[in-house]
Amino acid sequence: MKLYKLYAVMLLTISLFSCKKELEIEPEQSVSDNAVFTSKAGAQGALNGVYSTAQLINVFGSQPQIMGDFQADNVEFVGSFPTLQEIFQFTTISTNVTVAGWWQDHYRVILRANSIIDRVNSITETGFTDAQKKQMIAEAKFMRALTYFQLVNLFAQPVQINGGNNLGVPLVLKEFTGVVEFPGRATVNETHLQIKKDLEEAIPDLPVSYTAASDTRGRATKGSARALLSRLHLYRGEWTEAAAFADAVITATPTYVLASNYSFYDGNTAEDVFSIQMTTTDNSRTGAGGWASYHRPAANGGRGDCPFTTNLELAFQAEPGDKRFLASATGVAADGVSRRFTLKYPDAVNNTDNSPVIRVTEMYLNRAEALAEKDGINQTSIDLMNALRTRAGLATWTLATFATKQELVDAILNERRKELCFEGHRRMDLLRKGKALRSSGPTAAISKPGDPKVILPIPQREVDINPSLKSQQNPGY
Amino acid sequence: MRKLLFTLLGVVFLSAQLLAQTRTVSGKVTDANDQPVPNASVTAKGTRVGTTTKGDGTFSLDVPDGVKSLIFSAIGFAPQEAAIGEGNVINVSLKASDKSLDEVVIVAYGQQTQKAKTQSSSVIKADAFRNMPIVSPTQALQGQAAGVNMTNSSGLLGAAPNVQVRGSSSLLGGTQPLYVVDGVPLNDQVLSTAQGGGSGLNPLVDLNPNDIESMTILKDAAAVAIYGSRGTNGVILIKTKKGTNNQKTRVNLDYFTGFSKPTDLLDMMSADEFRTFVRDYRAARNLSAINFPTGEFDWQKAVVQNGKVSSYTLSAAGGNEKTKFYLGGTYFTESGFTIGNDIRRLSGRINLEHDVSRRVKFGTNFSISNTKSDRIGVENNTFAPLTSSSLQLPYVQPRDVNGNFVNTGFIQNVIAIEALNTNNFNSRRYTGNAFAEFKLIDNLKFRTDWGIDNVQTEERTRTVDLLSPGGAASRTVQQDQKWLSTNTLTYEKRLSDHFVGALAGQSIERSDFDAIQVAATGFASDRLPNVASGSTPTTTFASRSAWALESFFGRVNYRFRDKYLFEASLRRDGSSRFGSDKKYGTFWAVSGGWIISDEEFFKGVQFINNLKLTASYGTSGNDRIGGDFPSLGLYGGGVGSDYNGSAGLNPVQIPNPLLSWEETRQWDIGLSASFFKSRINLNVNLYNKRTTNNLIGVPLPFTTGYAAVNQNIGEIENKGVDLELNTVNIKGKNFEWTTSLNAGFLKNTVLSLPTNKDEAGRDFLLISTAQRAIVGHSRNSFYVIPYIGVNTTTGDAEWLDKTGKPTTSPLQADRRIVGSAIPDFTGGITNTVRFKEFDLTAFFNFSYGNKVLIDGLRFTENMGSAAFNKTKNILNYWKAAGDVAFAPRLASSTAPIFNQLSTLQLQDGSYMRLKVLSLGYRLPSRVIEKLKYITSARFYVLGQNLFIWQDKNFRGPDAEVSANGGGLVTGESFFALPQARTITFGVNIGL
Repeated sequence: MKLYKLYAVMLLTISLFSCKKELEIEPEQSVSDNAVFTSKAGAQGALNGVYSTAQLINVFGSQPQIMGDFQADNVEFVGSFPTLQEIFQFTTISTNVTVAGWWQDHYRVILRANSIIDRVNSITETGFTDAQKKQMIAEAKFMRALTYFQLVNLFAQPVQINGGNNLGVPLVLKEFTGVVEFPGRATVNETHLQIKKDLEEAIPDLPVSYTAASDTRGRATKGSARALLSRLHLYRGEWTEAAAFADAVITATPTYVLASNYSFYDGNTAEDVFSIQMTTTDNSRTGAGGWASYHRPAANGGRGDCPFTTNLELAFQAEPGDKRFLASATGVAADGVSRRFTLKYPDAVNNTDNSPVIRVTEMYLNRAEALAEKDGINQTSIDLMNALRTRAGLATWTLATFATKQELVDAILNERRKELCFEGHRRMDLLRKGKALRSSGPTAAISKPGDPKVILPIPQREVDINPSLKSQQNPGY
Repeated sequence: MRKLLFTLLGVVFLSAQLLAQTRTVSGKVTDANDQPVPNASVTAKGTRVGTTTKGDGTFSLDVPDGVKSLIFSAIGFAPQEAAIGEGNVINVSLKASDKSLDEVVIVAYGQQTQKAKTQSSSVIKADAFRNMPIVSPTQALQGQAAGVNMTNSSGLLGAAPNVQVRGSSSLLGGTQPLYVVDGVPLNDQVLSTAQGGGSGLNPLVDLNPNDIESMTILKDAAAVAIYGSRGTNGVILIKTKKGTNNQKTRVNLDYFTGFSKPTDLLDMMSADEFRTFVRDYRAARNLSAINFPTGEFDWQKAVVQNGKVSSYTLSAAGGNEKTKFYLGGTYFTESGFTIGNDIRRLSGRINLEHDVSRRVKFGTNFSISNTKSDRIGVENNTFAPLTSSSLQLPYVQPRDVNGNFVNTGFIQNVIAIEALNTNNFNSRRYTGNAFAEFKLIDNLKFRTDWGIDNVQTEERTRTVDLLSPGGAASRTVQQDQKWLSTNTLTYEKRLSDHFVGALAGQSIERSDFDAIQVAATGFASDRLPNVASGSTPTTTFASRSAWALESFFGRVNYRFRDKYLFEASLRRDGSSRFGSDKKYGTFWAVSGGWIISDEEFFKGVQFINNLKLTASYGTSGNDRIGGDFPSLGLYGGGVGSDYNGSAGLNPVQIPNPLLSWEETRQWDIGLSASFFKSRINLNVNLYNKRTTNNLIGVPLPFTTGYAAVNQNIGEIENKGVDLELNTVNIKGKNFEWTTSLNAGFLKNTVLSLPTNKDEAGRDFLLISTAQRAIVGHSRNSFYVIPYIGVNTTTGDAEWLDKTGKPTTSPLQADRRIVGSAIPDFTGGITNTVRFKEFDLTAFFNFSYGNKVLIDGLRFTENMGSAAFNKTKNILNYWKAAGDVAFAPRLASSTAPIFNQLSTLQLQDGSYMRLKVLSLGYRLPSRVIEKLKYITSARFYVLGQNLFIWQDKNFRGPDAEVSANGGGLVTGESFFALPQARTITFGVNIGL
C-alpha cells in the first residue's frame, strides 16, 4: 500500500512540469519587429529612433564634429585615444575602429530613415492621416540627407577635386529586408544629387515649426531643410542657390532671428535652425560623455582633449576684444599642460549640451560668401557680415575695407572660422576652398584637398566583406 | 520519454509481486579494521534477491529456498562469497580492493567506479588545491586536469577566468563549461559591470573552495551528452564535503595568512627621462617644444602595495547510524597588491542526510555566502590604478602644495580615486537542494531533487566633487534566480555475469533575471553617499528576462563479466532560448570499454595490473547563443531609441526563427593502464570534437544598417590528446615521492565559415582587431603586420610587406597570419615528497606554443604622444649607423607609426610557472598523543607564482592573460594586472 502512495507522489511530481508553456517566454524590454509599422504610435517611435540614432556620439553627438576642428587648424588634439590621434596626425589606417563606428552609425540612421520612408504609407490605422504620414516621411528624408552629407564629407574628397566625379559613398535608399546587397560607391556628384532630391522632396511636407521650441529646433522643418540645401550648394560652389536658400532662412522671421549675444548655445532660441537635443537621461553617449567631455578640462568633468591651437588663438588675437574669444578659458589639458578651451559646451557632468548642427549665423555667412563669390565686393555681403561683427564687438566693414574680391572672401572665411569654431565646420570650409588643413608644421604638406589622409578610409571591414568596395578604397589606405 | 517511465514502472510492479519469503539471514559487514561497511550489496547467489547494508554495516535479507550462499560486494572492496550455514547470522570482513580502480567517480546524476567507467573525465580532489590562496575554485582548475585550459584573465581579485575544456568550440556563443554543484547547475551570468576589462568579475566568486571535496570535469560525449544542450563546453561537477555514518565528529580548523606582490611590472620612464625624450623627439621632428612642469612622482610605486590574504575555516563532519552531516564556514579576506582592491567573503554550508527508514532517505545541501569587493578599474579604464599609474605623466603630482588631492585630468588621479571614491560590489548567493530518495524495491530508487541558485548583486559607486564636478553616484542591483526540479529513477541489477544499470529522469529549470540601475549627479556634499541625494537623475534603468529548460534524459549501463562495458545515454532538451522552429533537441552518446587485463590471456602479464580500452561517440549542444531571446526580431525602447522626451523604437536584432543550439559530435578513444601494482597509472585519450551549426554573427555590410545576423552556420574542430600520468616513485615507511603530470595537446581548426574571403581566398570571421577565425587555421589566429625591427643602417623601423620585402610604410594589406592565441599544449606537473613528518609539494603549470598580444604596449611604446608616459625601452632608439636599437631614429618617418598594431606587440606566450611550492610539517603522533584536544596538526608555508620561465625578451608584465575572461578573444591584454606572487603561512588542525 505504501508503495502505491510513493508511485502516486512520483507521477504527480513528473506530470507537474511537463508543460510546454514553460518554454514560451517573451522579452520585456523589446517588441517584435512586426509590431512597429502597424500603428501610428509605432511609426512615430521608429521616427524618434532615427533622431535618437543621429544623436549618437558617432553621428551628430560630437565625434565627427570635433574631428572637423582637430583635423583642421582649430583644435590641438591632445587626448590619448590612438584612433583619434591617428586622424589628428594624418596617419589613419583603414582598421581604425573609430572610423568604422562613424560609418556604421551613419548607415544606421540612413537605414532606419529608409524604413520610415518605405513603410509608413502601408499603415492603415484609422486616424493616421495622409498629412501625418507625409510629414513623417519628410522628416526621415531630411535626416537621411543630413546624414549622407556628413558621410560624404568625411569619406570623399570635396567636389572641387575632379569635378565631383570622385567616389562618394554607397547610396542605400531602401530598407533592409533580409536580402544582403553589396552596394558600391556612388560619385560625389551622385551623392549630392540624392541629398538635394531628398531635401527638395521634404520641404513641402515639413512644418515651419512645432508646438514645443525644442521640437522646432530639434526636428526637421522647412527651415532646416532649406538651410542644409544652402550649405550643400555652398560646398558645391553653386553660389546663386546657396545665397537664395540662405536668404529663405534668414528672412523666415520670427522663426529664425540672429541672436543678439552669445548666450544662445543650448538655448533652443531663434538662433538655432537645427540642433540635436540632449537631456540628462538621453544624450549622445548617455552616461559616458559627449561634446563637453572633449572640450572641458578634467577639473570641470571633461577629459581636456580638444584645446585651441595656437593658430586659432592668433586668429582671434588679430582683432582684440572679440567677444567670441572671451567665451573661452584655460585649464589643464589631457597632456597635463595648461591650455585654452571653448565654453560653448559647458556641461561635462550630464552632457546635456545640444549639438549645434545648423544655426542662422551660418546662413548669414553662407549668403555673404556666396554673394561675394558671385558678385565680388558687394554691400549685401558687407551688411550680413557687419551684423555678425557688431555682435562680436568688432569694427564694421565697408566696401572700402577690401581691395579685391579675394580679400573679401578670405575675410568672410576668417569670420566663419571664428564664429563656427568647435562646431565641426572648419575642415570642410578649408577643403572646399582649396586650402590646406594645416598652414604649418610637418603635416602641412600632406593636408591639401586631394591628399589621401584628409579624408577617411572606407572601414577595412567593409572593404573585406563587400566585394563592390574591394577596388573602391580611398587611395593611400 | 514519459512512455518509457511508465514501462519502467510496470516492470517494477511485476518484480515486486514476485518476491517470496522463506528465510531471514542477517549479519554485519566490516572492513579489515572492524569498521562497519555501509551500503555494501548483499545478494542471494543465483537469484535477484538482495539488499544493502545499513549505516552500521548490518543487513537483513529474506533468502529464498535453495540458495546456498550470499555474495557481498562494496565499492572499494573485493567481492566475497559466503556460504549460508545452519545459523541465520553471517558476519563478513571484506578485503580492500585495489584502491585506484575501485575509486568512485562522480558522473552525471550518479556515480561509478573508476574501473567500470567508459566515460572520459578528470577528477581534481580537494588535496590538489587545499590551502591554496585562491579566491574562487575555478582557479583551482589550472594545470590540474588534462584538456582543461584555465587562464587567469588578470591578477585582479575575483578576475573572470577563462576555462576551456578540450578547446573552444564556439565562435560567438559561450565557451565556458557548465558548473553543477551537488546536482544544481549554477547560474553563471556575469552580474558585475565591466570596469575597463572585457568582462566583470568571476560570476562564481561566491563559491568557497574549502567546501569542495572534488571537482569532476566531464569531457567526452559519453560523459556530457546527458547534459544535452549544455554539454559541449564540458561540465564540471562539484561535489561538496559530506559526513560519514557512524563516525565520531571530526572538527577541522584551517587558517592561513600571507602577503602578495605583483610578479612583474612595466618599467616606465622617470620624469627626467620623459622630458628629455619628448624634447629630443620634438626637436628632431621640428615640432614646437612643450614647456613641461618640473618635479617628479613615481605613480607606479604609489599604487602598488603589499597585498594581504587571510582565511579562517572551521568545519565539522560526522554522523551516526541514520544521519550524517557536514557543517563548515569560511571567512576569507584579501587585499590585492594594488591600492583599492579588496575582497571579503563569509560563507557557510550545511550538508545533511537522514535515513528515515530502510527505504526512505532525505537530504539537503545548502550554502550561503556573502562577498564584498572593493573594486578597482582595470585595463582600458582611466580609473584603473595600474593602467593610469603606468600612463600618468611622471611629473604630475597627486597632491597640491597644501597636501590636498588634485584632479590630474584625463589620466585620473588614481590615488585620490581609491582614497575618496566608493566602488563596491556585493554579491549574495544561496545555492542548495533538498532531496528525497525512495527505494521502491531493492533495485529501484526514485529520487526527487529540488534546487535553488539565487544570486543577488549590488554595485555602488560614488565619485566625489573633485573628480566629477558636483559628484556622481550610481547603484545597480541585479538578481538571477533559478529553481529546478529533477526527478530520477535508477535501477541496478546484477545477474551472475550480467550487470544492468538504468537511469531515467526528467527535469525542469527556470531562471529569472532582473536588474535595476539608477545614477545621479549634483550632490550638495561629498558626505552624502546615497544616489538619491543627487539633484539630477541621469540613469533610471530596469531590465528583466528569463529562460527555461525542460528535459528528459536516460542512461543504460550493461556489463558482461565486468570486463565488457557498455553505456548509452540520451537527453531531449526544450529551451525557451531556441527559435520557434527548432525548440527541441535530442542528444545521445554510446560508449564501450574492454578491460583487457581481466582476460585469461593477460593473466601472465605481471607488471600490468590494469589495462582498459574505451571508446565513445555522441553529441552535445551549446545553448549559450546570445542572451535569452536570440532568435526574435526585436525593436527596443529606452534611451537608445528615445528622443527629446518622446518614446522611440529602434531595431536591435534581425529575426531568425531557426536559430538554435550549436551541435558537437565527439569521438574519444581512451586507454588506461596501471603498472606495478598501480605504482604507475597512465590515462591517454584521443578525441575529436567537431562542432556544427556554430552560432556566427554573419557579418553584414554596415550599409544594411546592421552589423551582423546570427545564424547557425560554420564548423569548427578541436582534436587532441589528453595525457595523465600518476606515479609513486618511492614508497617507503618514512619517505614517499609521488608525481602527477597532465598535459592536454590541442589543435583547433576552423572548418567552415560563411562566405567572407580574405586576400588569400580563405573565409574568415573577425574575432578582434588583431584576431581572426580563418578557415583552415585556428579560431584565434593573430592577423597583423609582421614587424622586423629597426634597420641598423637607416634607423627606420621596418615591417614586412605582402611580397615579403621590408617596408617603412606598412599597409593593412600587409597583414598575415602570425600565430595563434591557442596553446599547442597546456598542463601541469606536481611533485610531492613526504619525509617523516615533512611534506614538500611543487606544482608547475605550463602553456606552450601560444602567442599573446600585449596591446598596452601600443601606448607605452608610443614615441609621438606627449600625453602619457612611456616605457624605458624606447630610450634605446637608433642614434648612429650600426646601432642595434629597439626604437627607430627620432626623425624617422616610421617613429610616429612605430607603435601601430603589428607583431611588435605580439609575443611568445609560452611559459612554465612554479604555481605552488609548499613545505609542511605534521606534528608527530607521539606529540599529538600528549595533547588533549588536538588529533592532528600541520604547519606549512606556501608560495604561489614564485618563478616563471618564459621568453627572456618578453615585455609584459605577464604572459598569463586573457582579455575578456569569456573565452571569445583570448591571449590579449591591455594593462592587465599581472599575477600575484603570494607567500602564506598556515595551519591545519584536527580537533
